[in-house]
Amino acid sequence: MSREAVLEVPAYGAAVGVELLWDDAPRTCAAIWSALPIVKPAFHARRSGQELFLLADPFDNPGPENQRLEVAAGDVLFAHMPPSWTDDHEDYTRGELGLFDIALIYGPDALIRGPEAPVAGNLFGRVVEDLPALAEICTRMWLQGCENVTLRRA
Amino acid sequence: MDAEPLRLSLRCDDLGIALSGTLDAAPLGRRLLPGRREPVTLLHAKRDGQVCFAYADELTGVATSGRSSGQPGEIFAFGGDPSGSGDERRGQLIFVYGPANLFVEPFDRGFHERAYSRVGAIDDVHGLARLGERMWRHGSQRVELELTAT
Repeated sequence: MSREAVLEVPAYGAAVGVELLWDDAPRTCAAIWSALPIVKPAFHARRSGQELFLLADPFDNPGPENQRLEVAAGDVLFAHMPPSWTDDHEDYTRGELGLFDIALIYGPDALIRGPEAPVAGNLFGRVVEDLPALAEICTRMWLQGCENVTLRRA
Repeated sequence: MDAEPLRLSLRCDDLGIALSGTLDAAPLGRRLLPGRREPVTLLHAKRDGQVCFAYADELTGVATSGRSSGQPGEIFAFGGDPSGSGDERRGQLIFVYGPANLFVEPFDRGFHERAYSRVGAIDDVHGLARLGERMWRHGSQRVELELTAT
C-alpha cells in the first residue's frame, strides 16, 4: 500500500501528490497519516509569503521533529501553535489544544511567520512533481479566495 | 507652495463597502493628482500581514522611507522594488486594515523589515478592516478609486 498523500481542491478539479518523509519525520508522518482525510478550507498566507495553509482538527501532537525555520518550495510542514499563542484568526476557535497548522510552501519567498516572529515547522512532506500545479492552485486562491481542500491518503 | 491634501475614495460595489480618507500630497511629490477616477484591483498582501494594496504606477520609483508597520487605517506609499521582477517593480498604495502587520522584504533575502512612507489615512477604520478581512477570504476586489482636491 502506498503511504503517500494527495491534496485535492475539488472546486478547481485539481490534485497534487505529497511525498511523505517517513524516514525524516516518522512521528509527524504517523500523526498526520492517522488524521487523514483532512477536509478544511485552505487559506493563502498573509504574512508567510508563498504559503498555503489549513488548520486541521486536533490530532496526536508529534512534538518538534525535523524542524525547519528556512523553507523551500515544495516543503510541507506541520506547526503546532499553543493555546497561548496570540494571533489574528478571529474566527477560529483554538480551544485547549491550540492550532494544528499544515503549511504548503509553493515558492522561495516564504517563511512561516506568526504575529510576533518566524515559527519553525516539522518538515514531513514534499510536493515534487506537482509543484507547478501547487503554485497555480495557491496563486488562484490568493486572487480568488479560500477554497475547501482535502488532504487524503493516496 | 505645499501641495494640498487630496480626498481619496474607494468603493467596492461587490462587497457594498465605500470608504474615504485623506492623502497628503506632499510626500507623494505630486505624483497622484486630483481628478483621477478609475477601477483598480485591490490585492491582499502575502507577507505584510493585515494589509492590502493597489498598484499605482505613478508611484514607481518614488523614494519611500519611514515606518515598517502601521496603525489600522493608515495609508502608505511604496515605490516598488527595483531589484525585483515584474509587478514587484511597480509602485503601490498600501492600506493597513489591522494591527497585525509588519512590512518586510521578500523572504528569499532573509527576514528584514522595509520602510514605507505614510501618506494618509482612511476615515472609517472598521470599514477598512471589514474590507481587508473579506479580501483575505474571498480574494482580490475591483474597487473604484477616486482622488479629489480638498
